[in-house]
Amino acid sequence: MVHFSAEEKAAITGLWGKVHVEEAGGEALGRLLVVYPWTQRFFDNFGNLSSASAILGNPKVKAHGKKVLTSFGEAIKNMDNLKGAFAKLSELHCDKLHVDPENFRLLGNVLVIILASHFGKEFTPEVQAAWQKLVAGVATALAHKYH
Amino acid sequence: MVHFTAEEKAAVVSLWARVNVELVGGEVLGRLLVVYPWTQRFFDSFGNLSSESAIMGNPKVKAHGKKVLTSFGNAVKHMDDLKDTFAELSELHCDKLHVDPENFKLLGNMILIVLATHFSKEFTPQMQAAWQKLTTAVANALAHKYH
Repeated sequence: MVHFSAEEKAAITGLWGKVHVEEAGGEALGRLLVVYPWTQRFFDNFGNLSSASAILGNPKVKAHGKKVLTSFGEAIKNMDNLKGAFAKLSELHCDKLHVDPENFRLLGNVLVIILASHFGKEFTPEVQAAWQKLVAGVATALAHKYH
Repeated sequence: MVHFTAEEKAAVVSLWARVNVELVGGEVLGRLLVVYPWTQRFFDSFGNLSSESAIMGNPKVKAHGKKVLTSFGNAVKHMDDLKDTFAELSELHCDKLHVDPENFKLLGNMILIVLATHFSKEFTPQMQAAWQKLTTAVANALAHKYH
């Protein structure tokens, strides 16, 4: 089980408090679909994903991005029990959505990059290390119920 | 062989022109050593790597980071011929340095994150996609001569 030190938790929650979940969520999902285009296959019913600007302006992308990042916020409240917190979502992503768990790592990478671009120098190496540990922990938790 | 469109090349080249190689190189290598501490094993002779501030302030880290990123600049000039450009370095990293190629991907991620902190909104999704493609291709080129 992944263990977060008090400093790591503080670094994560400190930054999270300043994140605009709706905006960042839309951007995270949008960037995933632009930078790793094969991920678009999971969002057939989202309408126009034909270009970067179409993707980034797509209202369904924004809405779903917000949903995904809100769920990520739950991770932050349950850093000591990520596997428990994401058990149901893990089953959903395996049994119903059929998402390759590698994509969870890709989304985690995109989230780290967005935080870096939003927070600049504030996104210090230590803050980055804490966040990379969290996104890796969430990706693992989401893959945990796969069979 | 990886193919870059004219737009991707333009995006990479235009951002690269504004990168302070010395500053960014040191930061990229420093962050690698902080965020992925096992990478410190390749730099035993670098002196004090005992904390984030020690690493980020370490003159050998900065100097070597500059060397690594200068070499990356070569990739930007030879985007159509990365495997040949990095053939000798690939042999060096395999035969003499014994570096697991997975670490090239980690360094590539660090480059993206540092570019994101420095260029912020200018590091658009399209810019990120082009740079992601380049760092992945460089990582593959560096792994190409492994045996």
